[in-house]
Amino acid sequence: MSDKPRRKVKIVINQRNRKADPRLLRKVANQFPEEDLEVHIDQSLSEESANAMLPDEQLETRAKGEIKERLDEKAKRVAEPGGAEPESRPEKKGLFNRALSMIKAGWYVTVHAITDAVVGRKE
Amino acid sequence: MDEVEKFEQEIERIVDKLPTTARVALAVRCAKRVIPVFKSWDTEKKFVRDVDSAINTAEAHTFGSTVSLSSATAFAASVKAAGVASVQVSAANAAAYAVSGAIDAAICSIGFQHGATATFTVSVVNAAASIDAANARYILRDAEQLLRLAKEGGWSDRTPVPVTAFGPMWPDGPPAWARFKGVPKALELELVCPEGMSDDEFVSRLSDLVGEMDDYHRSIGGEGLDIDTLEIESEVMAEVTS
Repeated sequence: MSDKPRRKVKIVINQRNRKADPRLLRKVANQFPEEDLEVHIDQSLSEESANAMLPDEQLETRAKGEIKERLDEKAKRVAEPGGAEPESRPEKKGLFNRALSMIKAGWYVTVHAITDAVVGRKE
Repeated sequence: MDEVEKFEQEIERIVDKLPTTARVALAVRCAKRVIPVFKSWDTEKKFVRDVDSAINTAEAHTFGSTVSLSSATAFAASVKAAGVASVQVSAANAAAYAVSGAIDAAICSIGFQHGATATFTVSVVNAAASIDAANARYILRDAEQLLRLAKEGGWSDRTPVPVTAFGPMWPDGPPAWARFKGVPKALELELVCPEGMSDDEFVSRLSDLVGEMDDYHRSIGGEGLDIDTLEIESEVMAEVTS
């Protein structure tokens, strides 16, 4: 029995400035290499079985905390007077390549635009 | 025999060979394909929440989660009301019918009604294909892939269907009716990591990806991203008995 099971994660992401142009979110979504999901599907064919997935609140809290901290720190850095903006000029296709490398490593990665659902914060 | 008849015959052949839970997974996949049609009709969002709840419930059953029969039955009733309300718009009505059939298939599967699950699944597939002939090609591909996975994995009627069973919904881009028209309120990132990854590595990969999204957002004029919600489910590995 493996102590490192597969995990499924859903993250709802919004703009820090809720009044910013929402089309920017679309541009982010469009960076994901959807056509390359086939790479992973071929790999998944070798799976022998599937098991039930159950909520993992401990890992959820940790992951959310670490990711939020990273985003908050960057926002704070950029907001400082004269703050450096090294991340404001990311490598061209950096996001595309990051997602693609995860897919090739066996991750299933997909992104959806939420248009009509109520997006609320989890209590 | 025309193309529609050929399609229906092929679907019946495949569904007949699929294990029960896999049948529900196919029904759910077909319903999810055509939900945008229903949502574009239900602009006042009278039924959208019920439709989403119904399909999420049916899908949870395919993943192996325990689903309450009473709540599934309640969602089925709500979606049937959506079908009645949309009866004058054939495409929206077909989409509502597809969702209704998917939750009915799940209810039958929960009740071990193998044959009835097949009947509902075939009706869902045909309803989804009736909306757009181009849809049929993708549905057939999904059904064939599911059958292949079931055979290779030796699935039983109760084997959960992995979230990775299906590929992209529209490999060649979505048809006009399923295309995104509005502006997003948020993005939902859905990932499944491979087995054998430590907690540290898992969180690190997630953080790197979201960080990269944030970098890109800033590079196109945005002020960065934030997380609204984050939900993780871990696979419960089956005990190996000797």
